[in-house]
Amino acid sequence: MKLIRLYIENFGGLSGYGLEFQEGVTVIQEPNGFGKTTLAEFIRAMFYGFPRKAKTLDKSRRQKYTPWNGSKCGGNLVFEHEGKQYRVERTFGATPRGDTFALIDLSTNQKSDRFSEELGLELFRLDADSFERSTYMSQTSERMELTTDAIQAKLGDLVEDTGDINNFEKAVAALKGKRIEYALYRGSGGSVWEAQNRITALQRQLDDARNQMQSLRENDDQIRELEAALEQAEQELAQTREKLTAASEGAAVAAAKKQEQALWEECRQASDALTRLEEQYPAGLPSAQRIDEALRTAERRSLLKEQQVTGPADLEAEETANRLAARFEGRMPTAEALEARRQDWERYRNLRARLEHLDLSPAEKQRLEALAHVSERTDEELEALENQNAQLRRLREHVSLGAMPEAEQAELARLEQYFAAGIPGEEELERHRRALAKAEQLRQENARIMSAARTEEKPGKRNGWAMPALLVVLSAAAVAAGTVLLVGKSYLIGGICLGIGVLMLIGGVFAAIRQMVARELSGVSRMDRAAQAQMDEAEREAALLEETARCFVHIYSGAPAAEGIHEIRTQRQRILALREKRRTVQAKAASLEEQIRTLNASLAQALSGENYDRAILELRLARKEYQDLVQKKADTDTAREVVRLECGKLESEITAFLAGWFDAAEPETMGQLLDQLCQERDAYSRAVLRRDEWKQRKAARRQALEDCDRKLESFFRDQGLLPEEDIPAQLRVLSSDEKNFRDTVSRRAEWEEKLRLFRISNDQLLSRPLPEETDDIENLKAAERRTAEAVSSLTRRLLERRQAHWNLRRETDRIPELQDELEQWQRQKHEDQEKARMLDETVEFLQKAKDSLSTRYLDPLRSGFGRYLSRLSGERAEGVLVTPELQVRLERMGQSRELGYFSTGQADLVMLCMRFALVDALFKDVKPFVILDDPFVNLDDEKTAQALELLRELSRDRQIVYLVCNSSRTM
Amino acid sequence: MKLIHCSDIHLDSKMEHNLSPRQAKERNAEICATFGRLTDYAVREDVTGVLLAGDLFDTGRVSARTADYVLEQIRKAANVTFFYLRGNHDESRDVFAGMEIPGNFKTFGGAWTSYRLGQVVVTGLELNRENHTEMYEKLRLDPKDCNIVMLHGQESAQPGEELIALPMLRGKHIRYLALGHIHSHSEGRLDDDGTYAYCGCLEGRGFDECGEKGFILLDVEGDRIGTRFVPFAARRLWDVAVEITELTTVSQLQSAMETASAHIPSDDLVKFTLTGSYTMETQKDLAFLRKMLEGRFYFVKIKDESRLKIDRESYEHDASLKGEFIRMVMASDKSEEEKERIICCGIRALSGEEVTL
Repeated sequence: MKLIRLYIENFGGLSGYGLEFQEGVTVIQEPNGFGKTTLAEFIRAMFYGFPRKAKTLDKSRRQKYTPWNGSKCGGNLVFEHEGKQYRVERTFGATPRGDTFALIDLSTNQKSDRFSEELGLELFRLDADSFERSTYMSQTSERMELTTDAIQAKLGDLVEDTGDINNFEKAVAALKGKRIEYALYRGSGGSVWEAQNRITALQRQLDDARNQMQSLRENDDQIRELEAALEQAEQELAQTREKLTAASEGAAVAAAKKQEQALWEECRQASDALTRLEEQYPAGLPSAQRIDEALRTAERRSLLKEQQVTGPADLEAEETANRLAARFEGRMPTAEALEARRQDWERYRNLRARLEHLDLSPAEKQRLEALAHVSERTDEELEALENQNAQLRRLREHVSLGAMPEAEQAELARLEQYFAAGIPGEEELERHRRALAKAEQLRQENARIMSAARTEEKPGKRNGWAMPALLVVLSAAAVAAGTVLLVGKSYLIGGICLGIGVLMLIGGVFAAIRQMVARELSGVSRMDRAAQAQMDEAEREAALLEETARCFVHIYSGAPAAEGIHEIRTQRQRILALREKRRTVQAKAASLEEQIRTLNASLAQALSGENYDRAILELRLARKEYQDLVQKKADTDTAREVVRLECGKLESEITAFLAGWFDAAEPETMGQLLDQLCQERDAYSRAVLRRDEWKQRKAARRQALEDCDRKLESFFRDQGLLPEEDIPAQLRVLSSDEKNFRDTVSRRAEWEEKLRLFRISNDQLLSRPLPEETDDIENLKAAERRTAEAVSSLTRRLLERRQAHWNLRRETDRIPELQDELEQWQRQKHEDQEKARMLDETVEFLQKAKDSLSTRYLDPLRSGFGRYLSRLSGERAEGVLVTPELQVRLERMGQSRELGYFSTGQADLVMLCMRFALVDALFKDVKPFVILDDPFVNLDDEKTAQALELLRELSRDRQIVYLVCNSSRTM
Repeated sequence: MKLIHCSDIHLDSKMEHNLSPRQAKERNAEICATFGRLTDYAVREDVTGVLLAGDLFDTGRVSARTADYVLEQIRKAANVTFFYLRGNHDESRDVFAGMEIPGNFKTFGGAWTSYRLGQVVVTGLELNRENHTEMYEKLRLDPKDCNIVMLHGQESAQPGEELIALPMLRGKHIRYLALGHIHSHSEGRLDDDGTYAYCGCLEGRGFDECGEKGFILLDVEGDRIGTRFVPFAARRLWDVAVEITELTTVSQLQSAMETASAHIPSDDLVKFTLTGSYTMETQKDLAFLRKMLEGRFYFVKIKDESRLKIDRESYEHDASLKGEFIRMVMASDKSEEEKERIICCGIRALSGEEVTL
């Protein structure tokens, strides 16, 4: 099969483009952007069209190559196959439905049905993608070296470069990853394992629940047995109870008659008792109230008789009243008077005690005697002593104040040291001052001469100052400008201005100094010699005068001469003044010392000790204390007299009071007599009161006894009874009989009512005759009890079994739920196992597919590659081996050697060999053309030439379309 | 006189296995509650008797709670007589063991048993291995009565252990043959005198029980019996087929399913059955679709019966791993369904998409 020509009407960027293909290599040299890839795609589209149903998601191919202007997309391609030329014409619409196809047999110019629309597939036996992957080789973007490992990989990839083989490992990993979600390949884990765990747990629970089923059945059997036994026991119980009822009815008749007899007997006994009491008391029994009243009267009478009216205290009171009657009969002191006298006595006693203590203490008396000598000193005398002492103190202060101050003494000492060489006279100081004035005068004269000489300079020379002045002005301006700029944050320009200003200022100062020196030098040179000599003489004289003065000053001070003379004069005046002051002070101090000695002698004679202040103070304090003690003694004496008078008055009053009851009362016994009078008065009052009460009690008792006797006598007379000796006991018996009588009457009525009611209520039973012989009730009761217990026991057991039934039902009720859940998990497990199995099978199929693909294409690829490689390397075909592992070996010296690597320049050529080998492997019957899209762009000239040579070589076997953009790589 | 004919309530039943445990419990409770509603209905509508024509319970394992509930409902409807004929699912005779059976609860055994309700005589028999052949001979009914016969089994021409030979019941003076066993409602003519009817189940439990579910209300006047089917289920089950051949995106699939189920109330249970074919490009993500539709209904299930459409020719000359893989799978002896699943799984993995099963 070979391509003849093509014409592109419209396809992508190509329009109205025609091309004639050559036998071997068809070189299409066009610049970049021409549309070489579009051309390759057109050839593909002519054979395969655009896919009607995309196998991939890439659906943009049709859109990509459809012209934007909407013109018809398509063209035609002429090719030769099996000696015949055909023209395939295709146009492409927006959708597959708009596509057209035509195959023209150019030998007849008729449409041919040799191939269908699936031209490429029928011609090459490969689908469009496989065709494109093998017959189209684009330029490589990077240069590389091909090691044998890389060749191995590349060859593998060529076979497997299907767009998905690269994803093989990822796909297998994803499938295995999904698979282990269901079941791990090794170990425990995955949803199948989890489901199995759950199934095991549920199976265990289900087994437990099913085991309960047997228990439930056994329990239900027991329930049925118990129900039958219970039914039988209940029947027995009913029969026994029927017999018991019959026996009970007979017993009831007998019991009723017996009960009636017992009630009648009770009524009879009560009537008999009443008859006996009525016989005992023919006049009848008094009421219980009257008996109680009589009994209380009798008991009171007995109590009154037994009561003791007179006691020892009564007798003692009688005796006391009689004994004290002589003292107090008709003259009983009042309590108020007695209390007033007792208070007087207390006051008297207190005054007496106070009188004893109303005097100076012994210490005070002793002190008073000790201070007797002070009484001789008068206040005037003490005042005179104080005045003298004050005068002495003032004199001493004057002495101390009259001395020179310490500062002046220190200053005097300093001045004495200053003038250690002697104090110069005023004339000497004046002389040196005048010498200095003269030296000054001489120098001023010299200066005047010098000044006169400078004034003779030329006016133009003054212009020498213009430059410094100008520089200073400019520098000031520059500094000001720099400062303004810096403030305005223009740091660079401001800094430059500032620097220029500073430099100008320095320059100005330098110029000014230079001008000054120049002027000085020029002035000196201009003076005449005579004036210069005069100036020198004056200068020497001035220097001598100054040196003399300086030497004089240097004796006293380090100051310059003029200042030194002034300083010496000042210090001289000061030392003279201080010396005069010291003499005056010393004279005054001597006079004061004499007065002090006189006063001191006078005070020493009047006072003891040398501290006159303290002696005078002690003397004053002693005198004050003495005066206070004298005053206190006078006050005490006055108070004692007042107390003594009051005591006498109280003593007279108390004695007069006591005289009413006692013969004589001494002051010492007044208190005792008052106490005695008080006690005896109280005792007499109490005794008289008690004696009166005793007499009243005796009269009342006698009256009560008489009342009791009268009432009892009336009671017995009314009842026709004779009182016995123990009347209370007799009345108690009577009371008992009365109560007994009343109770018996009530009891008889009660029993009679019971008998009546019993007869009414048991009328039927009492009317029946007594039953004949019946079953023993006790035996029947025992039997009934036993049967009832059996029923109760069976009922209880039945309840227990039923409870157990419900408990077991609760357990077994879970079985359906557990079964459902178990089935669900088993279903889940099965589904997951199936999924895992399916994933395993998918992986297996993928692996097999990969192996199959490799086996089918790799061997032809390997041999083809070896063949092409030998042609490239110039080796013999049998000298180049490609191993099944796709390693390249070269035969050298009869031995197969592994080829380490291909150089960088050879890599593209090796790739070309691979591509041709792949085309050979894929296309079995028809050798297709190969489209090379500028694949040697990375080669140098030498390698390019080699590559092109290889192309020529290869084009002998097949048609090659070589697209190139650079003439250097064209053929 | 009004009578209710119902059957196949299947209390304590297994539920549709895709229901969550919570929903399964809820549905079981709902079926119990439906029985309660039935008794309430009977009381409210002054119904004289309820014919429970078999399979009141699903298995022999009836929970005490359910047994208690049934008896309590019957006890509450004291004026209604319940005729309970055990079906093939009512395996246990001890469901109510140890419980107090209310007086208005009547049962049947292996021999014909009759109960009279005024002029109506209800006769029933529980089919078993021993009686299924001779029961037809032993059925004696008074033609003067309005006879209602209860049986549980599959209608048939010949007798069998779980079969009811309708021809052999003709001429037996049956006015109404109340049948249970078939879960869908159907009625037919038995003979000149009477009719037969399957009332179907009260509630659907799985997607094999779609459609209206309820009971038959009998109105007896003299010897004439009128019937009316009363839909009574709390929820209905639907099986909605969705053709997906022309659909490619998941949105299109969802839209088609929503359109197909637009008329279904949200309280119902819906199974979508995807039919037709799909290609490798079809975004058939069942988990996603189920998630999208879950909130629409009480329960949603998606059954995929669609088939992968593989253009064998398009892969025949594909010199790629994908082509080789598809060719190998298609050439294997796997079932068509397995082939589809393996291919889908492998292609998804090769395309770097998430592997879904």
